[in-house]
Amino acid sequence: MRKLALSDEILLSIDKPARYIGGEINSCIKDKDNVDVRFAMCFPDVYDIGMCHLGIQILYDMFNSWDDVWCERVYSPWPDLDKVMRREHIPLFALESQDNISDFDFVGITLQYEMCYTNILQLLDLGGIPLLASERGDKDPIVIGGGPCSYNPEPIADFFDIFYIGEGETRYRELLDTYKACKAAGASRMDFLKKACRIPGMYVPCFYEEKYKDDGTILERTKKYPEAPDTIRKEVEMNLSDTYYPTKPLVPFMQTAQDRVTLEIQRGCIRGCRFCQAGQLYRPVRERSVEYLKSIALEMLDSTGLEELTLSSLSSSDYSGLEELLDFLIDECNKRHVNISLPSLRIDAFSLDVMSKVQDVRKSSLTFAPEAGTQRMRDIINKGLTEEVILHGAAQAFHGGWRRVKLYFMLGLPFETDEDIEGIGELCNNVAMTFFDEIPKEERREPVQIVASTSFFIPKPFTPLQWAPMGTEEEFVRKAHVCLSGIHSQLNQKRIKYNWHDTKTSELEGILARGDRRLSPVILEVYKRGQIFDAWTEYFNYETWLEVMEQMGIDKDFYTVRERSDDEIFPWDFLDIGVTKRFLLNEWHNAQKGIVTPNCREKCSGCGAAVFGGGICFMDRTQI
Amino acid sequence: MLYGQNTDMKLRIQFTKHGAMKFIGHLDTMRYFQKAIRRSGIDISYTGGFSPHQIMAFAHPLGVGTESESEIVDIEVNSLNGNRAEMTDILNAQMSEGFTIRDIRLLPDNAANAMASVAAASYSVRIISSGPQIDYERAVKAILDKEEVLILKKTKKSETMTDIRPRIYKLSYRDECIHMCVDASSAGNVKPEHVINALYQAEENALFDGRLKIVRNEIYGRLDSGELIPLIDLGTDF
Ligand code: SF4
Repeated sequence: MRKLALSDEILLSIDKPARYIGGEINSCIKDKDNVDVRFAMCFPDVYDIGMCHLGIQILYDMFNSWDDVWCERVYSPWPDLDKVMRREHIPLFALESQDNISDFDFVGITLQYEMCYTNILQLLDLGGIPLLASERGDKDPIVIGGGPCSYNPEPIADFFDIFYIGEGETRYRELLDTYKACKAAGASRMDFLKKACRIPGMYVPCFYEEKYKDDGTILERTKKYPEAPDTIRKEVEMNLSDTYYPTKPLVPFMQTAQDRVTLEIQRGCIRGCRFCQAGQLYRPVRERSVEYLKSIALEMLDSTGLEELTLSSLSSSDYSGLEELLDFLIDECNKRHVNISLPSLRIDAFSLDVMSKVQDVRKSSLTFAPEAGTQRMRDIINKGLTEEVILHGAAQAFHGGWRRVKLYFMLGLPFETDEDIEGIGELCNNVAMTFFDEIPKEERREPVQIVASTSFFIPKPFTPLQWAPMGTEEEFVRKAHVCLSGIHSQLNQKRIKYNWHDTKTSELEGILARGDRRLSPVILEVYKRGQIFDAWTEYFNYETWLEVMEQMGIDKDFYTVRERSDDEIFPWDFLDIGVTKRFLLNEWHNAQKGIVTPNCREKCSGCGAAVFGGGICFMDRTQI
Repeated sequence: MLYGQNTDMKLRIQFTKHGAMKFIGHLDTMRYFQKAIRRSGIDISYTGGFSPHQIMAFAHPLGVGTESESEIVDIEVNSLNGNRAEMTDILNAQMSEGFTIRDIRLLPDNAANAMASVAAASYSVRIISSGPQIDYERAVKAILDKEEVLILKKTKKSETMTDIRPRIYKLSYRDECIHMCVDASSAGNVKPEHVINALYQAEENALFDGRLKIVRNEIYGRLDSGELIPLIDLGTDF
């Protein structure tokens, strides 16, 4: 039997001990003496959230397909265990071997959201690894970050030795080979980092410095190691139908956020909504072939025994082989008594038909994401959805038997007026009106229910709105009330429910998202004052953040409410995502004028992502 | 004789749960078996509707922290994938370390469902005590000699004193373990912890506050004759 790092006594005293025992179906056990590289793949949040993350599963599978590497997993110990580990000096361990992570060659940390930054420090600290990269020695693991937040790594630059910019499939082999060669030659940590920074996609933050102007903006970025590259271009896997995919995904013992087989059908999005970071970061759109998806879907169902399958992509309706794929999946899943969930489908006749085959329409709800209440505002953010399309889709859905409709909006978008906010209530009311217009009285036994949710707009790096100011907390609260009274003034207000997102979390996310290196000491100090699990409202304590920022002389408004000038140098400008800053700036100007930009399938707008030499940029538009 | 025949058959599966798997709770164990059965290709029957469920029933939930030599789950299948030994192997191939399939038997069509069939269970309990040490042999004898053993039973709604003596069928102390066979029916379930508390009360009038290492050894049903029989033995070879 595997020996566990935690005693029975501890495991029985904490919540959900299954989070920490490893040994799940399809987890990988190797002999540590027969591998050259041990890689601890960390998700800086609790197991229940991190376990099902597809990106981690892809990398886990890829690493372990290599004989010389053993990749294991680590998740943040929940606060109950965190306390015990600190009290009893139990070092953080990886689930598979239950060994201390400080013995590993690499500690990889995925950066999925800004609110997990203090948890990065928790992982390192419990692992016995110096928190600051500058304090690590030759015996310490190489700490490497990746994932969406690595597209502005600067606020956490002090904690990482390397950031891997882009998709993990392409360059890890090269990085590990370089590491092995360095290790064999007895090279120092610094020597390895100097070699690593020459590998495409690798950003080694200690080789760079930021200099600031008097107004606090960046004057310039200088290099401390002349051989380090000036810019780092993101890595992309261009052939998604012939690459790593976890056909034997891990199956947790306990219930997690998503107990299902995930089928990633494509990467990228053709739409170019101006607030959306993923839509720019993952350009160009690349599809996996239908044949490939069919075969891996069956393999995954067979190897896991999971009872649900879900499609994953930013906009599934835009996948060109959707109809053929869904026909196949519905058929196979029916045979196997497997449920299918279909998120991110545009509501139209086709999707309603498909959904009616896979779900109980009376119990399920339909989702629209107009993101803004008026057409004027939707043009500003380049959201192609019109009220006509929404109402038409809703009408079809009501006839199909659906009664619940969810609508997602953002508040605090640039150039927003109170009329735009009130438009949210009007749009919801019009959806309700559509129900009463379309559905005869005798079929209205089950009433229509509309749920409107608003989140607060947070400008993100590498989006056309990266120049835009973010609202203050007070503004957000006011806007939420404008929205609420807008809904209350509607004829059908009783049929509309309204939810809004926590304002304090949004503000901190806004600070960190467009932050720079001056925030690293803030995050460190907040952590030292005991703050972890900021993504969880029950543990989030904004007061601590405000206190620390004030004591360190950091003006939060500098990061949030300030409108950036067109020529400002951003902390993330040295990263090259293919999409050019010129294109983004042009899009920002289009936003100001309310000019809509066509999607990649209608017309190429020359964003720059064609440098990757494939995907949608090179497809014949007369064929699609 | 039944191969390929398309009729609902009830199978009884006996498995062990050891080591790290003792931290997997009852509901998660159920889900674990649902997935294992899917992976194994066993032709289990499903309920209808938009989210079909496997027809599967566990005999008796096992608490987190408790290991077991003999857990029982019944399933309904449309056809058999092989004989008793083959099907045991097929399902064992899907088990993670700590779970082992011991046996699979065919149940008669009129068999009562697993939960209703449970009459008793036997446990071995090792006491890892931090509190007062008592003379277990003497305490066991004291309990067996008593006519009535009252314990406080707490439910969500109330606290009542109940007499568990008639529901302790066997009790002994050997190899530094308390061995017991107690009522496990849904109406009269006695937890091993209840018996340990009673031992402490009998001996010292002190409350037990140590840690227990509990292993469930067997789950029993009752024959018409009144005799206890391991639940698995209510099924037959196939
Ligand atoms: S280069 Fe053109 S087609 Fe390619 S992602 Fe950019 S806008 Fe779309």
